[in-house]
Amino acid sequence: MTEFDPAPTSDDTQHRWQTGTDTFGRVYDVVLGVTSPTAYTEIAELADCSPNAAKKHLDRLAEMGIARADRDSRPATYERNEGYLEWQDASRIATELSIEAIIDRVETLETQRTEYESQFETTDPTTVNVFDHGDHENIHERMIAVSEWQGVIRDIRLYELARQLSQNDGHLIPA
Amino acid sequence: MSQPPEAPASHSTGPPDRQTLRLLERHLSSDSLVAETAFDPDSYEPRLLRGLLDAGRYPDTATAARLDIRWFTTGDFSVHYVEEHENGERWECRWDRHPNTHNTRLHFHEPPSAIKITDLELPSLHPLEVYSTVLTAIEQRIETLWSSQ
Repeated sequence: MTEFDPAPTSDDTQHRWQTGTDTFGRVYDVVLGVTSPTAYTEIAELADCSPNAAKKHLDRLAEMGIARADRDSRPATYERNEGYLEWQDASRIATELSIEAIIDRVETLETQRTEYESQFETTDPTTVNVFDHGDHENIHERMIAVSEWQGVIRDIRLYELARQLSQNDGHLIPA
Repeated sequence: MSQPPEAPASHSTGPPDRQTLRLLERHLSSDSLVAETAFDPDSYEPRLLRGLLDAGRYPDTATAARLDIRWFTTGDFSVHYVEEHENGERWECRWDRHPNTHNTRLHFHEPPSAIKITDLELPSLHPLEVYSTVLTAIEQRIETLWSSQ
């Protein structure tokens, strides 16, 4: 059996994820995975399109609120708009789940949070040192536990936003 | 690039990256190698993305194969591939990016047991590029399985 290559270079120029998407779709997908300001030229490379096409679509995505643009930077940079996407998540929860279901989920998450707090003997997950602990599997387990704990705290906040949206008929601010 | 700095600002990887997990789920669910996807615990609280690979693509000796993906807001990740075999054996490996004391932040847990760890280099750390690399590697693995029949 030949040795397994964890990072094979693909023969075809089109990367696997790009199949069946148009230029706008590719720019959209690339920017959804971009979490720090990134030059549009680089986004164009990832999306396999011309820099001009990338910039045009990125400006449109920025107008829609999905991307954040820094046009003063040379070249202009873009990244996903975390705040907008969080609101979109909360809005979807508010539409799909009842207020009772949301409250139930928050109760469950609060119990989980308490369990993590007693497991790690602190209320602040960012103070837990994950990466200095012995062997790799140990690090890995702690990493996942602390990450999920942080996820629990985040999800509680997200459901809180969803509850507000739900109570205000989809609006952030009461009429 | 969208690659986070090498030195970790904090002592952890941050919470799961909901948006990246959703993005990857969208692509995974339309990939020809994948039969089914699911979020753990569920789609409202995505922490782990599971992809069940299409067993029909494998020789009969492989009974099941899956991909477990974690992605964190720091740009760290863990992509775990597991094959179950008829004789009860597992064949697994893991593409990981997280700080540790003995390898580079980006490293690979080698098959068949995922115990031996080597440093890894990838052309890009964008989630979709990592996804493409992993799925291409799995496709080659399936070819190897067929040719060793």
